[in-house]
Formats: sequence, structure tokens, C-alpha cells
Amino acid sequence: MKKYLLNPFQNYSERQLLIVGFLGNALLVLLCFHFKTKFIGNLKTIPLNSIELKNVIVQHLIIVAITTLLFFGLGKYLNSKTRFIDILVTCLVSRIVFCIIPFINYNNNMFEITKSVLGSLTTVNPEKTMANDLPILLFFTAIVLISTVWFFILLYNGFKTATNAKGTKSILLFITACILSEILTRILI
Amino acid sequence: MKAKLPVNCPSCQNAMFVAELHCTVCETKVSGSYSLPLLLQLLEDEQQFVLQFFLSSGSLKEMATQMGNSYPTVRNKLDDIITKINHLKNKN
Repeated sequence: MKKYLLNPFQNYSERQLLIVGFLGNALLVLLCFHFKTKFIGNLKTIPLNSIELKNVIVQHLIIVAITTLLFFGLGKYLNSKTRFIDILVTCLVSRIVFCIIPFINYNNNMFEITKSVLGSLTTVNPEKTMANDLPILLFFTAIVLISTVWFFILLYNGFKTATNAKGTKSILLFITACILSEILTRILI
Repeated sequence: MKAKLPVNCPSCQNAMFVAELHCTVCETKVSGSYSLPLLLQLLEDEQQFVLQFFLSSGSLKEMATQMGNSYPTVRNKLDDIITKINHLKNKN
């Protein structure tokens, strides 16, 4: 079970992974639209008051395209046999774990909590006004952290399977590509 | 139980050599120090992999389906075996 949750790239064919990846990302787009959550990078989300479906689709396309191209370039550098399809399915499948994040903004909940917490910082006793919102905020932060760690495990395992990358150098380059993709997506979105 | 051919020394992990061969019909014995052929120096699962690769006419896609693995997993295994064989070739 652990193997399938953390490294499905080892056992499933690219066709199966591509179907799951596309369906998962379509679901993620719909959830982001429904719960008004904007992804401005692989890791950064913003709860909004209103959002357009067209914008959500474009944001997700930019993130997937930038991440795939960067990791494909790195994959080709590390191993010339790296296939584009393997990197694409890695980026698509690893993003599915983020489907949990839009639920955090259910009923504009997160938007209101963030507004309230930020507002309470300017009050005389911020700890008193934050007392109700802070536990919820911490719970949501834990969910985000778990899904982020899961995302990176999937991304690394998929990249490792696609490129047969080994050693410290490949890990360092992987981390650099992660940071670079985050910076580029934030610039473009 | 089918006995496994030990390719590495169980004591020091170095490569084993053939010291004696004998004919089971006439009991002729040949002694010496012969190195194992390259393919026999691979581990048992690696030898099985090479055999399966040969039997599937070198189709990694077909092998991946048969083994229940993805294409890159099978290709990585093949690449690792190629690296190992090249390393053994240079050592010999």
C-alpha cells in the first residue's frame, strides 16, 4: 500500500498514470474553482472571494508546464534516455495530493479566518481575538504541510524513476529545479 | 532444492573463480583457475532479467507488462546491469 501511495511510478504504466493524472488535475481545477482557491505556484495557495474558471485552468496549465519543462530539461541532463511522458505523469500525479487543499476554503472559511487573524494583529490583545481562529488555522496548516511533504515524495520518486537519478548531485539539482519552478510560476501567475 | 552458483565469496565478497571441472561420465578432472563468464558473474535476479530480456526479443515494453512494472523501472534495471557488466569487463 505504502509503495502505491508514495511511488506509483514504479509499477503503473505511463498510460494508466496519464489518465489518473489528467482526471486528478481536472478534479483539482474544479475544486479550486468551487472553493475559490488560487494556486500561484506548486506550493502557494491563496483563498479568494471570487475566481474565474478560465483563470484557474490557465494557472494550473502554467504550473504543470513550467514544472514539467524544468524537470524534463534536468532529466535529459542527468540521463539522455529520460522520456517527456514520464516527467509529465510525475508532475500530474504528484499534484493530485493538493486536491485536499481547496476544501480548506470551504464556504470561504479560510478567506475569513485569514482576514480575521490579520485584522486581530492590529488590536490591543491579539492573542484574545485570535484564540478561536488560531487552532483552526494550525489544523489547516498541518494538512497543508502533510500534503506538501507527500507531493515532494511523489515528485522525487517519479523523477528518480524517470531519470534513474542517483547520488547527491542529482538530489541537489532536483532541489534547485523545485526552487526554480516555484520562482518561475510565481513570476508568471 | 536447486543449488545456486555462488559468484561472490561468502566470506570476503570477492569474485569467485572456477578451480576444478569434472566430467560426470568418465570422471576426468581439470584443475586450474578460470574466471566465470561475464553473465555468470551477475546476481541471480540480474541473470533472470537478462534471460527474460532475451526471450522477449529485447522489448522492454513487453517485459514491463510481464513483470508488472512500469517501462522506466525496467529500463533503469537494464541500465544498471549494463553499467555493472561494463564495470566487470574493465575489471577482468
